[in-house]
Amino acid sequence: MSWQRRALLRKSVNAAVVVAICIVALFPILWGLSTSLKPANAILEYPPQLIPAAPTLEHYRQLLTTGIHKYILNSAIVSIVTVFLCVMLAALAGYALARFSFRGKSLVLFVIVAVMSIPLPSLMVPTFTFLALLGLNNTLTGLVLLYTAYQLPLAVWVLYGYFQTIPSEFENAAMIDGYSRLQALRRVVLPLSRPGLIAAGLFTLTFAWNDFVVAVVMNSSDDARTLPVAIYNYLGFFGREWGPLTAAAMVSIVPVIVVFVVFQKYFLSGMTGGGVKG
Amino acid sequence: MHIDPRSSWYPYRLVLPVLAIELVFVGVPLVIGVYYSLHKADYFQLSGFVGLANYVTVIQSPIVRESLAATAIFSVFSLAVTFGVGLALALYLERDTRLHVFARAVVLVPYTIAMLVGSMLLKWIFSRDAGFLTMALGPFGLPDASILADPNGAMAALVYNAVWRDSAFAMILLMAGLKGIDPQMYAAARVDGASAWYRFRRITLPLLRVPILITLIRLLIHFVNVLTFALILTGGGPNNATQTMGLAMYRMGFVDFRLGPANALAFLVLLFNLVLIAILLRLFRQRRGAAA
Amino acid sequence: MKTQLFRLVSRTLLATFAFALPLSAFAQTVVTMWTFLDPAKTTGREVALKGMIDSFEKANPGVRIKVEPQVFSELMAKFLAAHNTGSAPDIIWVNTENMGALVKSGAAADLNELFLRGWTKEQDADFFVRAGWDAPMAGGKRYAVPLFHATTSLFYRKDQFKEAGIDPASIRTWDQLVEAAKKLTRDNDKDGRVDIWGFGTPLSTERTGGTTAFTTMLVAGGKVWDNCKPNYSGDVGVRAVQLHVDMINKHNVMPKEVIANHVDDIADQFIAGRYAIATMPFARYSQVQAQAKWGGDNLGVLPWPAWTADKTGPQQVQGWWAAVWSKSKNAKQAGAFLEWMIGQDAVRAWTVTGGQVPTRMSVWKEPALRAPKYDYMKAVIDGWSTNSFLVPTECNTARFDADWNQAVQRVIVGGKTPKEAMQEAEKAFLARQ
Repeated sequence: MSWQRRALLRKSVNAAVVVAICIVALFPILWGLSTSLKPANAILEYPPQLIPAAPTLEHYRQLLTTGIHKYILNSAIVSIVTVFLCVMLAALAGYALARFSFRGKSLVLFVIVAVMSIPLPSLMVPTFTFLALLGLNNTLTGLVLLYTAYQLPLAVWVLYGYFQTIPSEFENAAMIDGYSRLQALRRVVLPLSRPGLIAAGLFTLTFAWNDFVVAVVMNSSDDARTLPVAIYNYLGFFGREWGPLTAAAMVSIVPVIVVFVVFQKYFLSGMTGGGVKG
Repeated sequence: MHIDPRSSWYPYRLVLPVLAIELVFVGVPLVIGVYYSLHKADYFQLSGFVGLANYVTVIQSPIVRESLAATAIFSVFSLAVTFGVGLALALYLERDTRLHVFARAVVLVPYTIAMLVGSMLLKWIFSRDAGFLTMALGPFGLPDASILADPNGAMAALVYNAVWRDSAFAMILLMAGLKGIDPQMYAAARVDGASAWYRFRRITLPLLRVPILITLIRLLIHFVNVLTFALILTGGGPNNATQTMGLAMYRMGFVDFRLGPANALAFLVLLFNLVLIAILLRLFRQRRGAAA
Repeated sequence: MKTQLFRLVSRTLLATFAFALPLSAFAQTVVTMWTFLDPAKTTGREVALKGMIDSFEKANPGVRIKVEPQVFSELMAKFLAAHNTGSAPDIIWVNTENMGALVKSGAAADLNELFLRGWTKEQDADFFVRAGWDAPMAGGKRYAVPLFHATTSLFYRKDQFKEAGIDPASIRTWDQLVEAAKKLTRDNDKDGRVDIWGFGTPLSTERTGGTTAFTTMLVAGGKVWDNCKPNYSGDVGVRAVQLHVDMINKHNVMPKEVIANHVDDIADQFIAGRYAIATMPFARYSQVQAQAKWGGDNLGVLPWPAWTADKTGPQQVQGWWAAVWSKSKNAKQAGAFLEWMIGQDAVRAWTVTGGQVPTRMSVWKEPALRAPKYDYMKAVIDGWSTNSFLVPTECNTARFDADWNQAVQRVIVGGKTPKEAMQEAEKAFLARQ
């Protein structure tokens, strides 16, 4: 086969694989999108309409009248603060683990693994009691602290692993030049660790933005309600409303996708490309 | 007060905030939970110390034993397939072409959608009545088939849900690791005439050791503990085939209000997780020894 | 240093956001209420609730009712947890299966003390569903009052019955129902896929809440619970399980997938026209009427069949009650609002605006409710008047019917006999007491 033919074949296979990936990954979500745009009595038709015959925005309008913007704001506040707090603290701890050997290091690692292993629902009732003692029930602050606590282990571990792959020559060079260790961390190591930081941040963001189990137990008032709890309310006692349910779900996906698209380019920059060369 | 970065206290300072938060917000509730597990605690009220009676109840319960089997099957299959798909995606989509970047974003969408919603939509798609199944299987002579009413079918659907959502997680972790490998190593190997498979086995895999370990452990714990998939997609059925330990624990505590046994089961699940991790770590350490 | 500064800033931000929540008005008494309804929404029940709140606040200046809608399945769990930490709401809504928990946990106040002692005998007797009125009574104290009652009914398609030539009045026994269902099960376009099934009932172990035919089948056979000891594995229980199994495996009137379906799935399918008869929560009657593509006029309610033809099957009483927290600081005002919510005007609003079956006979007898559009409620009200029952509230009845659904699954998928399966269900019930 000629060189051009082979290249063309490779390109088409590539495209076909990507198309297959897209279908498998996105079909349920596109189905949700399609449902959210159908009028209520068309939602359960058989055979199912993949593309709505009479699209409508009535469910999205209904979301607005029931105050979904409030819940989006709450979720956004909680998620952003959690991501910053969690990644920041995790970077410090992960760095310490990667660069130092100190007594208690294995204890720290054990604590991390142990915390990840606890099934979350089992902590909910004791945590509720505990938060009430601290006066943090029904607050966004309480959620931030809990989410941070639940996501730190993974974030620390990811960054610990990532920092290990970065040779210490870099920050050593910086420190010889007069930077303190923390400054070296900030200016040299962190920029080199973008994929790791983004990964840790993304996992934390996904958890904080989508968590339902913790939020539904800890917070009860409308003011402190987050988006996932609002979505769950569409599974009402009198029946499941697919329209507003899928509309709310679509609304909750968009911000996270936007964040990821924005941070995509950090996945683009090759990492230790310039690192060990000379 | 300036602390000399070379002093031995330095690493402790960096690690302290994390330990403090974990101790307060996880450690304290955990201790409270264990305390509950040693009492009769119906309706969330303590009413009498019973020692290890709750643990005995839980261990002897046939429902719990069933859930252990369901959890084992679900976790092992989900782990294997999720990891495999995640690794394949990480390798395949590593290069930063436009198409690949787009594909990565697409794969991430199921992960970023709330588990609740993803499972509900999948349940709808898998249900006989929605019609997708019929359209897909009709030509094979099974127009009336029902996946969710068959225990193996339901388990397969559950594993599919897990893979569909969590492959992105594996992909990201492994891709972050891949990005950390110096491309010069591959170039050198290529110059020496090494095949793609050789490069994968001898360069990629060993250098990916830590991300792989993290991925496997994290995924395993996640699958053992998760309750949302089973709750929404299959409701634990049919015939408890998909009632995982996470779901059994949730029902015991939040629906039956029997907090004593629920917490006992939770503690046992925690220990179970730790054992699994210890096994995985040991396996990895052995491999390293063998390769060296 | 920078990290410390950052930490300080972030903590301040957190604190600010936490306290940015609106401060409550100090001059008023605020009575908090946890329910699954949201007065800001627009369904009939929610509009009715909002009306009640507005009129109460007008009549009682200085009292504000603050509704905090919760996910209905988490209401009791959260209330119990909050009761222990001293942060529970003043008013809580309770449904049937959680009544036992409410009574046994001591979290509810005695309403006799709060307002019921002032009632006359007539007022008391006006609540004609006695089982529902008495359900929250224990040890001479009354812990809750019914807001509206619900039940599970057999909805059926009048058009399908007509087409198959079946007279609804001819269905008196379960055997007769199965025969009718056979005629109603059709594969209209002959593609090998059944288009409409004769019978549907949710047999998943998730989201049960008394939505199956089991309760009426078992109650028809005698005392199901004796001092919280279950009697499921006798002849009646075995027959009930066998009937469900046969409907799927032998008579082919029900798809196997019902063992993976819960009440919402069956409701969706019935509305979409894929069942001719289905067990449905009665409260969804108006919703089905409005959404059905096969024409709301074709919706009918069958009285429950029994094992023999001499009387109709028992009609279960379910519903939602309201209670006052035993440690509420606003108990008097909370009690006053409870009384308001079950007053004449409120019950009328629940019925006319909210589409619920009225709890008071005086409201049912009002001229406005003689209109034909309320005829569908007659079946239920008659059922309750002749043969009503309520699941025992002195026991922990969580998931009582999930155990029966599980029994059917054990037989169909697990190869157990109905007797073994029901014995297991008995054990499960006992383990929760």
